Amino acid sequence: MKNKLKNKLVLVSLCSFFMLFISCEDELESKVFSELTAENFFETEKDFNAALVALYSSFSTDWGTEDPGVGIWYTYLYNANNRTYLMRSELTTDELWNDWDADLLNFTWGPATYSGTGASTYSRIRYVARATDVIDKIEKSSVDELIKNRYLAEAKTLRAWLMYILYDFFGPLNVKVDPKTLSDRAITPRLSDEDYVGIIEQDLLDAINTDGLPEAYNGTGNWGRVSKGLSRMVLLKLYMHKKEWAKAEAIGKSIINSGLYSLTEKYEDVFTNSGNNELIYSIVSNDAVPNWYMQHLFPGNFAKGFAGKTSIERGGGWYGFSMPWEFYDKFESGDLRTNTIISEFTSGGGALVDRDNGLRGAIPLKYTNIVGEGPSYSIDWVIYRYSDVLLSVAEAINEQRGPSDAYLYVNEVRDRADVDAWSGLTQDEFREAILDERGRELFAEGHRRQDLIRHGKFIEKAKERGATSADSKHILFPIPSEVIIEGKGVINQNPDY
Amino acid sequence: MKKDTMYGFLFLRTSKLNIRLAFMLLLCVASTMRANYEIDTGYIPEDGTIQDWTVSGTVLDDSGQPLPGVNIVEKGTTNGTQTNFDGDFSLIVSDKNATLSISYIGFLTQEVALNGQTTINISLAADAAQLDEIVVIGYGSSNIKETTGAVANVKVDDIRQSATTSVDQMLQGRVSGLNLGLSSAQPGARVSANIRADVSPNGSGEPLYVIDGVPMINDSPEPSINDSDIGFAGGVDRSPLATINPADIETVDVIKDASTAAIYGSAAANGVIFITTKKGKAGKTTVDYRITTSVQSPKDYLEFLDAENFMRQHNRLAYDKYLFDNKFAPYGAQNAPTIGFTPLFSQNDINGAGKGTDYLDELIKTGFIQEHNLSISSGNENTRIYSSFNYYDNDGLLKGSDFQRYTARFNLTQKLREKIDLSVKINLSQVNSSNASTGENSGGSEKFNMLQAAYAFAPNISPTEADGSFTRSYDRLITNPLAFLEIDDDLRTNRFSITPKLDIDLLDNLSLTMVGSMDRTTSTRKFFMPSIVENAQLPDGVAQLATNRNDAYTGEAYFTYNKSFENSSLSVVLGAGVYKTLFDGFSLQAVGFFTDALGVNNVGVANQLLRNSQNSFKSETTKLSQFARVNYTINRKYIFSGVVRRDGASNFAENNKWGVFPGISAAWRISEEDFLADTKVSDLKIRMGYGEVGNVVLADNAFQLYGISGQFTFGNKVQPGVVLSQVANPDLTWETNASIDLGIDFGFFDDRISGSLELYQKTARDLIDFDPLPSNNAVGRVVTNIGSTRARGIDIALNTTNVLIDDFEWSTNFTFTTSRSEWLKRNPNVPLPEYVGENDQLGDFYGWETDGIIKSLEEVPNYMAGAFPGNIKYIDQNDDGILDVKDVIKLGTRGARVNFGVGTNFRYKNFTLSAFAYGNAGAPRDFGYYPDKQINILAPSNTLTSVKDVWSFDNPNGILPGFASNPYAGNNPVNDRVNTDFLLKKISFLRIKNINLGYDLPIAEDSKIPFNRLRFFVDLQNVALFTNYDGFDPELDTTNPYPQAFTSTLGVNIQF
Repeated sequence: MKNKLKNKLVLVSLCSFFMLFISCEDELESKVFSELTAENFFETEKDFNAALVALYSSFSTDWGTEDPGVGIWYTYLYNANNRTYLMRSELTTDELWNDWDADLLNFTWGPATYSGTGASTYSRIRYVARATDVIDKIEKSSVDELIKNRYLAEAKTLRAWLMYILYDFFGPLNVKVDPKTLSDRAITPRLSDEDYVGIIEQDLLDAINTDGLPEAYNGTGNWGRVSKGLSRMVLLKLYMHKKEWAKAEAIGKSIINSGLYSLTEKYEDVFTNSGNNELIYSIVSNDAVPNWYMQHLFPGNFAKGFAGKTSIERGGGWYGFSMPWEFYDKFESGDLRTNTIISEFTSGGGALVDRDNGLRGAIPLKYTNIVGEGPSYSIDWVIYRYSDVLLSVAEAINEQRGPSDAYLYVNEVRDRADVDAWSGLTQDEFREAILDERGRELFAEGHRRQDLIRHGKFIEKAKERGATSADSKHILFPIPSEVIIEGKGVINQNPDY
Repeated sequence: MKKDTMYGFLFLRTSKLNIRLAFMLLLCVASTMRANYEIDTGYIPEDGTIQDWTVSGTVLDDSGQPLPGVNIVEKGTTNGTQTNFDGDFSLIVSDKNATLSISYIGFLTQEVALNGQTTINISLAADAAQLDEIVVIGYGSSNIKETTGAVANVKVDDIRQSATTSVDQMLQGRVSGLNLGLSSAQPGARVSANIRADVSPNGSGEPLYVIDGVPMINDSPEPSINDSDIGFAGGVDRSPLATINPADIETVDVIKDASTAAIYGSAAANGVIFITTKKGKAGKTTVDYRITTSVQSPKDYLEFLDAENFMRQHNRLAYDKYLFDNKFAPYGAQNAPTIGFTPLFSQNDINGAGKGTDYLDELIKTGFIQEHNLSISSGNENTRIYSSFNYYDNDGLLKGSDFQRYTARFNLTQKLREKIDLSVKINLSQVNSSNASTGENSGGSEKFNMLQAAYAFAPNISPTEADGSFTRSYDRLITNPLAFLEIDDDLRTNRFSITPKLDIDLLDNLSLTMVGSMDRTTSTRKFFMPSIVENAQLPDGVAQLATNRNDAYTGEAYFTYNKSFENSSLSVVLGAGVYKTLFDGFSLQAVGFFTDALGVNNVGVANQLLRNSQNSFKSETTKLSQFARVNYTINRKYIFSGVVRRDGASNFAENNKWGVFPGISAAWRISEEDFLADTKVSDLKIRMGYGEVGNVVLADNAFQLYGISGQFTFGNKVQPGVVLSQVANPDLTWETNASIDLGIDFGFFDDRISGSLELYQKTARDLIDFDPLPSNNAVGRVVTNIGSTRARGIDIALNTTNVLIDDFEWSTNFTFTTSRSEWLKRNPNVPLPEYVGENDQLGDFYGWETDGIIKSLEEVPNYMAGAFPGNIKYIDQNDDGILDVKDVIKLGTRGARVNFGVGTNFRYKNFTLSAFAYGNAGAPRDFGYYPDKQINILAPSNTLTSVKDVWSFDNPNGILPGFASNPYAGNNPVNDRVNTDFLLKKISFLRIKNINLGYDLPIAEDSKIPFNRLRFFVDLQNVALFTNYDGFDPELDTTNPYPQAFTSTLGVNIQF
């Protein structure tokens, strides 16, 4: 009997062990529920659209996001934080001032100054690689040819634009435009200026020559997408930057001659009417992806003020940015463009605050259609517009053959501002004057830094403001020190840093 | 086992069977097996002769309680019986001079010669060795005197500490080598636990908690506030242990070394803490009821300016700014003109200001705690029950914060058949809490939490307008501190766990244990900020709803084989387990309410649709394991132990799905040797061990992923973006910690003096680290295994019974811990800054040395040209005239050098007094709280009274940096919060944590009082703090912390 029992027991034991010692490899397969994997992404047209949206998001007006590929939080390019491409293009110039970053103010930045989250603009180099990946994946995909071509043109324009922005701040970089090298671990040197600019130019020309890419999206549900207008505009910026005046004039005139764009009747309308015909590109903002610029401007005790005849009532803001009075004084009296600037206000306690009474600078509001307390607004951020094209063409003409037929373009802009038309200037006078004209027309739009650099006045103006450390090396920002360290001698730092 | 059963065992592996099905089968087999037992349970007398000699009696314990289920056997025979429920027995014996052997688990076996008696009463003495010294070591327990590893045992009833929400808060300083960090003084807040030194720079240092044999999920499911719009996260980080009533816990066992912990394999890198809940005791039903009432009074908090001084300080610093802006002396050569500056506040304003409103005072009140604890213990030889109910209500120190907990526990031990025991443990708990926002925030003054708003709101502005609405400060973005009290922020956490366990004696020496468990915690947060709060960013109100769920399912089965030989004994455990954890949850935000009336209860009316958001997530992990332990003891002197565990997990990378973790240890009980037989040495043991355990960190980083990141709008449609977010590393594996442990356990004078001294070395290899990819790649890093660290440390525990006479007992205990962790090998792909040494310690931090404040333009050093008076003066270490990376020095090492705890217990007649203190020494910290220098001249905010120490034109001896921004601060190559030694010093503290005085009312046997026991006690917590730290609290490392409280408790304990 006992043996029988033992038999059974051992059988049971054997069973138990058999059951418990199995290794169910199926059960151990990794499961991902909340993210996408190579198995379920990059298949449909909607997948490619989502990948494109991520490229677009670099240009957002919202704060920023953590780049999941590196775990660092970066600001977007057109946010109003003083780390962005937009604000550094203004805060290093005479048009805007803040005291949140003494290095920007005093021109004391170095390779170690803007690292980590401070290297937000440089970080976009990853998005060039991501754009290359998207372009490669779209080319290899079997989605509808028309969509394919349009998406390719969009991706190429976005890559070129990102590359131009990087070029503007850092000069040519070692961007990855060859899909075969995307996951290489080898450090590659920076491209030559010629090669780098050539890639930008070719991407933009490819887009401009794509049949499926619409000329413009103004007033449509696709407003905010890349159109040929944007591709041409970025190319115009590149040619101006390179002082290739003839090419600049030609591409500028192709925008003018397209007949799609015109100046709005009133200057302030450009900024208040979404998708109007003066706009070549603007970034759509709304409650989900808001615009924080205005909140940065208002003093903490702001209650009421006037931009032209528009009454602005709201609470205090962060008082980050001011337009120095010296710049404000560049406006001729009666210049209607000052209708977008607040120069005095009533405080919460009812006192009038102005330049003689504690207001450290004018409030370059620009967007006068703000309603409510904020802090953020659903107001599109204007990136590129027709008057910039007119002024650029005028400048390009003046550089080639003097002001004669440039007046036509510049006076169209001045006329709207209700200031006197120009005439009888020498080439040098015109050059001098158009720099300031661009300042008055395009203030707070992120063009001032490059305009000053192009005119060779970037460093000179900084010194005038008391930035004694300013030096010609500051025309480019330094490559972040961690990139140089990683490069082990392969990646060259910008001169003199 | 083969020898014993005469059958071989076969170990099979197959890959295609479903494990769940396997477990069901196993349970079926187990239940059918019970039937087989009946065959063997009958008792047939060995001979038929029956003599007529009956002996009867009662068995009592040493306190006179009857003991049921005691075995009484006529010595030399198999003739025996058991006592009944009242401890009575009756036995027919073969000889009137027979000897009875009386045995009961937990008591010393007694032999009684009958010598013709027919009635005997026996009092059994508790077996101290068995009662006090059993420690849990995972899949079994061991007598602490015979353990080979570093295991410490804490009896929770011995810690007389009331008004505590979770058991981890009671352990600080109690176990050598266990260091706890308090992150917040909020009710129910988590403490971070760390056993021995931390060696994983990227991993968690948290130990594995095992509750009644089942591994616990250590993540709290409590959802935090989505701070992207609101700005503050609400500051809740509750301990998952807060859902377990500390009074239900019998013991906490801490496994410190890897040679023992290796039986938990890949989960045990940071040691294991076993929590064992109480069991019912056989015998008379006892009901224990405890009621306590506590008062919490706030400790000194940070001090802020009153109205008058706020205005004075503002005017002073505004004038300083005026001097600086215009570069007048002391910032420039020229003196300021007598007119030119108009202060914001006139002398009249200041004179009439008085104290104003102390907003912090308005928010802090006296806290109250009330706790009721009822526990019932009952049982007989077959069934034992422990059940308890607990109600804990803490009306917190900060207005708007409270914590209520209800727990119910039911622990059942049931003998199903002769050789089958079932135990079921069920725990139900609910925590309801309201949260006041404290801690960190993300943004400017519009995103201040309640405490920050109270710091910054101008004290000369009264809280409400004439119409009752909330006022605004000069900085109109700050939410009125009192408006925060209008916010509803409620959390409800429900936890249900059930742990059935079956013990089956298969053979005399072989048993099978099967444990299953389901543990589910669900937590829901409801947040509503109404429009009357007038939040600058969300003026029309915002609601957030979030629910998270943590599920853990465990199935384990193991065989235990115990065999004693003539001079030795063998114990083998062999088993396997399957574990599944599941996390999921969702959250939503709704913005814009036309009415405050609906609160969170109808978020559908929210009208700012694009600011509304929804999120959800899910993750799931499956782990399969096999484990074994062999113990072999020779002469109770030489003990050998080996453990091994094999783990496979779904979150491990493709090429490393399985890992093996071994441990081996040995001990020599010298006190059992003859040469120590008659000495004062009552216990002496040397033990050593080696083990390897795993640390699974960032394991999910092995796959290529596309993450949702960034969004963009076309027309009016917002669309989500997707980017390549992670590249695959299929070779990723866990970190391995290999540790060598050497220990001496000692006891002298019958263990009146006892303790242990332990030395250890932990080496971590295959450290998980981010390997940088080129910065121009889409993804900038890949998780790999590179690098190695090592920690060495000493743990000392010493317990002494100083006085032990009839009426008076006095004992003390002491713990001491010190350790040092250093780098052995770094990731060669991450370049080290030149100031960092290859083998520096883990917590080392670096920066510039400073030399106080520059007091005048003349004092500006050459290498700091352009600096201003009031700036911190940095030291140019190498005198090369440039402040740069070459001037960076090592400033210190984070964390305390030494941790210690001291406890003492007195008993005089019916009085008990216990006190406990702990502390640490040598942790470098800076001052921590710098006053706002009110640079926002148009909209000043209140600040700390220490603003008077800010250097300025009229305060040339100020010790804090002045108004002028330091042009060199941004050049500091070290990118940490602390990157200079300015106001940095080594902090030590001693905190008298707890004093408890109790009195037991003597109750005579024949008393009419229906109680067995009546105890009154007074308990004081957080009694005193001795420290050289100038900041708020040396233990709290968070900004804007929840205020600390001094808690005094009155309590009564009734037992009947």
